[in-house]
Amino acid sequence: MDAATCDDSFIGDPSLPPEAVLVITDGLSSLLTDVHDGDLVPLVRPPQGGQVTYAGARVRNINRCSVQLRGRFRDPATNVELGFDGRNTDLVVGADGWGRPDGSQLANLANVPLCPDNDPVRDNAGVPAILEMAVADQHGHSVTVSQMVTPTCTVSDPAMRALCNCECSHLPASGRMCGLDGGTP
Amino acid sequence: MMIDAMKRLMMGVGVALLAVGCGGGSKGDVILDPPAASEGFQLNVPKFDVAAGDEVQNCYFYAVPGTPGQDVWINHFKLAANVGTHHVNIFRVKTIVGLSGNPGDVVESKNGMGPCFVSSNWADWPLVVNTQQGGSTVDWTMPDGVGQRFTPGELLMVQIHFVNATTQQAPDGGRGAANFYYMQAPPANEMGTIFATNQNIRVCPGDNDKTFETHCKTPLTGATIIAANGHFHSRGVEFTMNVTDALGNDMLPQPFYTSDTWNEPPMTLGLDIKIPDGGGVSWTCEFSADPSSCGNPNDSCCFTFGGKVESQEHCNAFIYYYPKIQDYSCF
Repeated sequence: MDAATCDDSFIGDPSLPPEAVLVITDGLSSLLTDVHDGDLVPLVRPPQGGQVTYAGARVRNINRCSVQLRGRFRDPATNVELGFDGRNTDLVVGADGWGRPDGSQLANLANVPLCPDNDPVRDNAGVPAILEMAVADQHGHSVTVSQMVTPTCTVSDPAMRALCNCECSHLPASGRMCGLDGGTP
Repeated sequence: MMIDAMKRLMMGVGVALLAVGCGGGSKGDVILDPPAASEGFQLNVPKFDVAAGDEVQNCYFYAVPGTPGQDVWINHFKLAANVGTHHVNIFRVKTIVGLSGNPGDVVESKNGMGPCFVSSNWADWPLVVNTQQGGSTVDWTMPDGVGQRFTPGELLMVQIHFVNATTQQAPDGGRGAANFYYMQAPPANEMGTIFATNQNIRVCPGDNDKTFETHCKTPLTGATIIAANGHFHSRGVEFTMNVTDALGNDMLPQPFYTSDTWNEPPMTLGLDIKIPDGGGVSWTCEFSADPSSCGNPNDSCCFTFGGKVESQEHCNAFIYYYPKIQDYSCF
């Protein structure tokens, strides 16, 4: 699907305000799952390195083409932004009447970065954070949702998990070297 | 280590060569005289062929000259490359993954294949300096009191990419050089760099204004950006950078860097942009792809991340700032 073929039809009821539910995927399957308050969300190594959470939203009462997804993590204590990724994508309407990004392409989801952790104090893995998603179509409809989550290094391979935990530890004054053995944080 | 070609060439630090010309068609080899030995050193990339239809990306390795135990400080660069260069990026060699060499070695790669094209091979190699100006010389002197520090014997890698195909042409073949000029005394401030790359991008035929924005949060306090440039390929429409506060809000009413020229993007010098403490840098790449274009025929003809200019895309930001805490990358 692309902009040339997207019909920009309206999803839902134009008389109602936009609705959204935060969704994520683990980067392995194309399945998008709803995020609930207190959930663990996986930190996944994207192609470029570092660790991200692949996030989006299922939405309705909004137009479906070139919908902007702006995802970020925030520190719940300070509201400081910990990581941000925004991109636009066309939504696919499911049988349930909600529109979702096509989860088979991770480039359609906000690749919300959290690591390498460049904060000199805060560790990012295993520590609660606010996951926020702002959704906007091309016609002025917008909605923002957020949940308290715990970003977690979940990869099964021990070396990759150690790498994730190293990259998601606070940035030491002496610098960080994270190899596949986990390195020194 | 997977290296498809490695050989020693007539290259090295301090060897004279290069830079003339000024973009467009054939201009002959650029000529850049090396500095006097007391004034600096040159990283010289000797001429190599770029056949019609090919993209060649080579990685050359050099050692920083100097006296052991005495830091080398640089505050002035001259960077030159022949017409058709796609980029010249210079990195400090760190973790070895699939790409390495000794001083004087070159690793050759072509058409998207080979270790010099595999970005994960230099994921933690700090940026030193870069240019994307083919057929001309970038002459950059840092602000007073700012310099870049090197260690004698430190290994540097010059990655140089030439395209001689549809989107860019290299009528004179590949060639380039970089002059590093010494400071007389250590400066008050060390310059650091940020290499920021958004690799999970996908642009498909018919896409219009496909946008990817990322924030690079920094650990810096009191930092000032002094130069920047952005890099994407021919689907790129506009590249912008701004600075963000700790909450993630863009702080400048207009981006401090804007490029709508994918093949000769400006290197913006003379910047004086403060990074808010606790904030960072945002960078945005906007793409459009003609409905008849085709990147990867096995992926709906979409263009995804990669170094092959003809069929892949990039969204990379190069940022120079002081004072340095450490060099780091953002993804």
